[in-house]
Amino acid sequence: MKLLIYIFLCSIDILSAGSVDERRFVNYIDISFLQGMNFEKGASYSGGNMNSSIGFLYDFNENKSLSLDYLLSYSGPSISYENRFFDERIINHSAMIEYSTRLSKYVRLRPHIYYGKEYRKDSAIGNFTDNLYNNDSKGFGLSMDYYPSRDNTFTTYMVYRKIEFPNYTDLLYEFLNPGVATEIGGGLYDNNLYRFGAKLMSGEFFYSIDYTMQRYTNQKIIESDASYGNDKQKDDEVELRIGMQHRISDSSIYPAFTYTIHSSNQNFLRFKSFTDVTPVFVADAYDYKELGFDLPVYFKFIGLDMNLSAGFKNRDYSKRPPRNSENNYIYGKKENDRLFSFSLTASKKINDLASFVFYYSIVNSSSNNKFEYYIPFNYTGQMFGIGYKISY
Amino acid sequence: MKLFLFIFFIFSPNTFASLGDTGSEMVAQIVSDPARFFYEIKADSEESLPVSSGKTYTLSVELFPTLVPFTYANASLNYNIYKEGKLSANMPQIDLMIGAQYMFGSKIAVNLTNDINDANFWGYDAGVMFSNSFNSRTRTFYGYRHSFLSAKLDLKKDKNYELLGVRINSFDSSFSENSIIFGVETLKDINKYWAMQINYGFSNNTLAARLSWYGKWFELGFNIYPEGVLVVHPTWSLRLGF
Repeated sequence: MKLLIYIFLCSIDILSAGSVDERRFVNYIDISFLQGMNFEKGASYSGGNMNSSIGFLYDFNENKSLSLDYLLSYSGPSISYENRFFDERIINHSAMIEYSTRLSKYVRLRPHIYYGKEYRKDSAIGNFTDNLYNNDSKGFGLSMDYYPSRDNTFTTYMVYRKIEFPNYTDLLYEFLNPGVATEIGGGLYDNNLYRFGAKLMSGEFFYSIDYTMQRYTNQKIIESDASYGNDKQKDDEVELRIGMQHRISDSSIYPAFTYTIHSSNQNFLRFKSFTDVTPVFVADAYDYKELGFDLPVYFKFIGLDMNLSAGFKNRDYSKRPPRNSENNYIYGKKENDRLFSFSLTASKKINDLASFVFYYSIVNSSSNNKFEYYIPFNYTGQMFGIGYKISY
Repeated sequence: MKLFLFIFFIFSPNTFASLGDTGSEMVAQIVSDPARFFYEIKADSEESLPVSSGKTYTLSVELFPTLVPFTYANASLNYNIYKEGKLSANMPQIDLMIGAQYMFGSKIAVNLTNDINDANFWGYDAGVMFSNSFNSRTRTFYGYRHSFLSAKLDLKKDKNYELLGVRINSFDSSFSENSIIFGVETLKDINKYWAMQINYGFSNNTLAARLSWYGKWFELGFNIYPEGVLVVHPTWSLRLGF
């Protein structure tokens, strides 16, 4: 089989500021584009990523400003673990208006309003309009920055999002009542998201804690008899993060640990087929604890700007047993998923703004869950590339 | 008939590695939404760069791939209605953009073959572009464009047409898109520019990254459609400023 390996990586990171002294209006544009070739289990496929944003800032005076930020991202077929499966495509775009006011020398307040849309597609053919997981989100938030000294910054925030899934129908009802899907409306997965967090940056170190609550407005928990209970689904997540930024000459290193505790009152029913009359019930199937470690390193080597990045995640489900390849639960064990990633980026400047970029990454996923009909758990994937990069 | 279809699909084997499964998948993508595919070829010709400093008009004609081989006669005109900083330091340059496209090759194909009753592809676009200077060599630009394409192919009913194992059907559809454009332009030398931009169509989720180099007469570049049938479109156009 003849393979075409092509990667196109472009990145622009430009902050545009006014060259005229009296200008109060400034705008910035940030664009990164990655198009690559993925290899996994003998198969190969192209895919890419794009992240871009455009922002406008108006300074009323040195203490007050108003900004509008528009963000657009695309995630194509990828070995990346961000996608639910390799062939999934995601487009996300959002707009946020933020007002920033400095209350004193030490305190700044930043309220914002937000509106975003996310579209997904499962394969090359088709469109982004009718996917189950398409969602709209809108909301507001408030951040407060406290500067007790030059080397210390403390930020705390709260965010509210109303997330609506217009295409998300009652899958259980459809499954139990084949042929009635067209009569069912979407919105079953609609939820209100609340997030509170705090972050301290002290010298080279940072520490953060985030607490996220999702309260579903329609989705009820599933009971062991395949009926819905009275309680609606509630998800909670706590994330603790600690890391540092250390510079040595032209090199810098950013190690960070993350610990996540996720809990949900939702249960799971496993149907092996449409004719399965004895589905298996798994209580609290979505509870897990996850430990993550990231180690990005930046340095110069033979005239190239290098970025080495390694990452590791270990997720342990509290109640969910793993499944064998026949879709049978292995009782007495709990599901454990591990993911290791490594990437290398080498950039060669060709003028003041532009660089050629060489890119390689490898992802290894392993799990004691061997049932991979919908989502891959055990694989090693690689991505190669060469591209172009623009940066100020 | 197949010759006519291959004119449309000629880039499939050239842009990608093989004609096998990949080619069949590409043809299937085109058949499932033909107007989208022809829209991307048309979109290559849509001018989306600001009028250069010191100029009032920019006239551009896409030579490749829109004109050759896809036979879209095309022209785009950008007209500068406001120069940056003329009234206020905070006010960006403002340009109006219009363009039109017509595939004359489709009519020729109708006359040359007995397999096609009718074929007609035409489109237009219009928009507005704003640009701000970062310094004397670099500008950021952003804008909005509305695009329309009418695509019609009426095959004889008494035959089955296949390409790479995929059945080709008649279609009569249109594609209307509303796009946000934003990017950066840099002056490299006298009359030599480089630009990178993103075009996102929020009506149909069409997405393109454009990288281009242009001078006094011509523009060279790559248009990348990550969700397109042909991901990378090399482009070459005549671009004149007055």
